[in-house]
Amino acid sequence: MNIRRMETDILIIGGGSAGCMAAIRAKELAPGTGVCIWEKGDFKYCGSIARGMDALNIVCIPDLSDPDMYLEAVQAGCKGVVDARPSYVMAQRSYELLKKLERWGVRFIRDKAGNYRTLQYHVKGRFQTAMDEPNLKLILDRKVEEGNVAIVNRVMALSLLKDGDRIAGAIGMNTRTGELIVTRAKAVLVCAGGQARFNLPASGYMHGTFDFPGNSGDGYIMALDAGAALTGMEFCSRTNLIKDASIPLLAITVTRGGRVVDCFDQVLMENAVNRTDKMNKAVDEQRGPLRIKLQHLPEEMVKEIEDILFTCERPVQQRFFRNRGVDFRTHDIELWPTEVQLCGGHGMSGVRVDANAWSGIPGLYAAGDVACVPKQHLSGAFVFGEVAAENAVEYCGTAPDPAIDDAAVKAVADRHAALADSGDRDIDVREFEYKVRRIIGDYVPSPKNAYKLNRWLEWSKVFKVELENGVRIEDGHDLARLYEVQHIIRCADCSAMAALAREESRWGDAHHRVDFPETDDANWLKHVIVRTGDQREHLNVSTAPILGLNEDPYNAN
Amino acid sequence: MRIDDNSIKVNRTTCIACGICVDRCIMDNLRLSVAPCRQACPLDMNCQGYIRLLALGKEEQALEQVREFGPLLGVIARECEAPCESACTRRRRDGAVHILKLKQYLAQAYAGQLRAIAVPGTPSGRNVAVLGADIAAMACALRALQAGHTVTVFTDQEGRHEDVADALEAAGAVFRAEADLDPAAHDAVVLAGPGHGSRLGLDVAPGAVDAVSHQVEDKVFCADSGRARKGVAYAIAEAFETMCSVDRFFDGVPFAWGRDRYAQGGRVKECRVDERVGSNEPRSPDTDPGSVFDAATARRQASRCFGCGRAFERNKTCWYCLPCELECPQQALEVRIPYLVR
Ligand SMILES: Cc1cc2nc3c(=O)[nH]c(=O)nc-3n(C[C@H](O)[C@H](O)[C@H](O)COP(=O)(O)OP(=O)(O)OC[C@H]3O[C@@H](n4cnc5c(N)ncnc54)[C@H](O)[C@@H]3O)c2cc1C
Ligand code: SF4
Ligand code: SF4
Repeated sequence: MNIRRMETDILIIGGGSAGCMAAIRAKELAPGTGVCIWEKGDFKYCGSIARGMDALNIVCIPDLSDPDMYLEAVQAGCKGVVDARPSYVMAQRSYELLKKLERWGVRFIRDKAGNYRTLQYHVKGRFQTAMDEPNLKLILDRKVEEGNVAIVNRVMALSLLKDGDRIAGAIGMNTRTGELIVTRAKAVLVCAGGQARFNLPASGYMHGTFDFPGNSGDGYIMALDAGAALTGMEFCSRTNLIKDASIPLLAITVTRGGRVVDCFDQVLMENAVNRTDKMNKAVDEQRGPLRIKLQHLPEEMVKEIEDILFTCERPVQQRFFRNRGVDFRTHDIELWPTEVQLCGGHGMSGVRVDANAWSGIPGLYAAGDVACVPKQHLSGAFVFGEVAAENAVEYCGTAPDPAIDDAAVKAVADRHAALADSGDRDIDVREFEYKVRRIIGDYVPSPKNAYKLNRWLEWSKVFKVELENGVRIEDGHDLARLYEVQHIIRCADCSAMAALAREESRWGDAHHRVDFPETDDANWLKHVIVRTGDQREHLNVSTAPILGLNEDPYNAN
Repeated sequence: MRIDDNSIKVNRTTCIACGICVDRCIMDNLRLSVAPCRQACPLDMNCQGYIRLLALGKEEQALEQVREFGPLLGVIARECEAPCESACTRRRRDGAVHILKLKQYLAQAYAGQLRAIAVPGTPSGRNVAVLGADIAAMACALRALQAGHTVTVFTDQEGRHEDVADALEAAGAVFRAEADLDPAAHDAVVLAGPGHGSRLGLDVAPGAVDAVSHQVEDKVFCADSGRARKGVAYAIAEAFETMCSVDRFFDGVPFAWGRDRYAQGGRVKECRVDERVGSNEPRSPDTDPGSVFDAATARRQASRCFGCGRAFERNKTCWYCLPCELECPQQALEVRIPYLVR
């Protein structure tokens, strides 16, 4: 097979929020540095911010809040399992980030006195800052374009290449033709998002997920195989969003006076999104479905809510509600628990990084939803995109050119050819994904117990055999899909192994072990770390202490 | 389980098969079924697009579909052998649509606008030398200008296409004698044909030019790998491909996965165009070869187009995020929420 080859200094995998920011920052610091982005979809709109965003969830606006307050909030939100430094650095840089975005033309909502509109989204503190920018991705696209970055579209990264201990580049495939591409790079930034396609959404439609479904955990698995540590994989995050559609709207409606009620019309939250724990509890106690009520609001306010919801972030909800005959003036909005996702941005699963977005492997950085900076959201993706670029540029300045490991490339290429040549195999790759995700949903998320988690690990073995020998492949798209399912399966392995290790319950619905129902701070106030190794499914599980403000997980030498 | 639900609805009357939605989809959900005329066209010109727009009376928009060809459109309309008409689905029914004449109509009616070459506001900072005087050289220079490069055409010959050369000059291209060429002063040197290699002391064998990269030396490219001699459209096509390679060379991506940096694959070819082009059946009912269409005749002729190509949902991976709908120039595409979610 003919393999396309190219060379660059910094290779960015994933052109979403973090990837764009990293490319822009690298070119800002060192215009002569070669920067290349591989994007699985199409760069112009790709990733979670396809149709913009309506809030930057963490901004410490001077005089209103500060990084110490944020640290306290995020520690409370994560029930103590969070390294302090990365979250602190993000909070420190967040206001500067907002100012920069504003200079680029991103619209943040301000009142007549010029103050930003802040909303309460955390247990305490008003860090969420409202924006209204449907064209956020287009603004980034233009900035990247100005920087002369090489963008290679429709390339899905498959695995990272190493030269000894350090990173040497990556191998990927064109998602339409199936052709392989190898890029040699001194530094690789993994910005490939989280794992949105874990179990099936309640609607049964495989791509009707809350998070961007193009993110299938590729970043986690690539980093894992390259030797990086994953943490928080047992955190199966689930929220309550529009029933069936899994589209967010809490922040926009509730902060403008909406009420969240349970089936007895008892108000759980009003004016601030600060008691999601109460919502989860109500659902647990079968007091669902929860609803948002807007009927009591004046017409102008309903109109304002509609204007934002129907133009920005997920504007499709306009037709969704029209279809269902829901008018906010007369109807409630029904909420339902979403599917589970693994995500370092909304949740806390991801590559363990230090405050430099470094993974501990020379030349390998991770930023955005793929990295564990718990609940960093868009703010974190942007800040750590920049941080990763700054460190990668510095690293490139001194690192010599790496060598490509031809044997590793050949191994990927041989397997690629074997999967593509599917002969008379008869499992449709779509059905394969459907079944894998159905089974994941049965065994991996809460309520968890050792029997269920072990059952998944048995299923996983079966799926891996079928993956190699049973799935029919017709074109590049199918093949890319097959790799995605492989990553879904392996993410579920990591999640199950980590959940088996954490013999306690924590974070409510995200990790509820029926066989260990109590939170055990004495023994479990620590990270569960997953690496490749020799335990089950080629993984190794260990624990690591939670780090304070002056500690880093990796020794920079 | 039902996974083959249709989420994307495409209006067959207004879709012009431009493929923009296919290129922009972030979930690789869509494919473009390419009309036979476009399949047959060496230039990948979207004939169906401008014909459909002419039929709808949207002449300005039809012009947009071919504007990238600028002053070359006139040359193509005059000299091309029109494989598009041979491939036309209507050929076997009651004669092919007169695609070439519709092109001629556009080229003549809008000659002034086509001569005005649009160059980007911010220059790329790159400096390209083109050697040659024939249509391939003109096409290379046109593409370089459109990409924002500084362009110098080196030639001692009197070109056949003075009108094109004038338009290039008006857009900023400089014409100089071959002896003035100093390769070191340029970021890329493009030979319009293998023969021009001798000027650089290079022995470029006509058959030895790589048909994909067109690169012959570090920063030297040749716009003729052999195909160019099959006719004017082939020559221009190779020139365009070469310039695409030059841009990729500047970007540091030394291979081409498609003409446009965004479009890689995504095309489906449903009929066997080779057979149609090869067949001896008459192409179209006899019309006066010398005649020229007026606006009304053009519109009538254009409305004979069946509109064979169109975008469709192929992979059922939609996130109903809407970029495709937003980017469709014709509002021909509607994203419906999948039934399971509806
Ligand atoms: C609907 C929705 C609403 C949200 N609302 C808010 C909000 O109001 N405020 C807030 O602060 N945050 C919000 N977030 C969170 C925020 O958008 C994300 O945390 C952030 O965008 C993550 O950025 P990222 O770069 O990690 O991932 P993304 O922006 O999703 O980008 C990942 C990119 O990687 C590509 N990719 C994946 N795998 C591969 C591979 N193998 N090879 C190559 N490319 C690959 C994908 O195609 C994608 O383009 C929201 C998220 C969603 C989905
Ligand atoms: S639906 Fe619109 S964007 Fe897509 S091919 Fe047709 S006209 Fe072009
Ligand atoms: S709505 Fe989004 S995923 Fe669906 S076809 Fe359009 S661009 Fe693709």
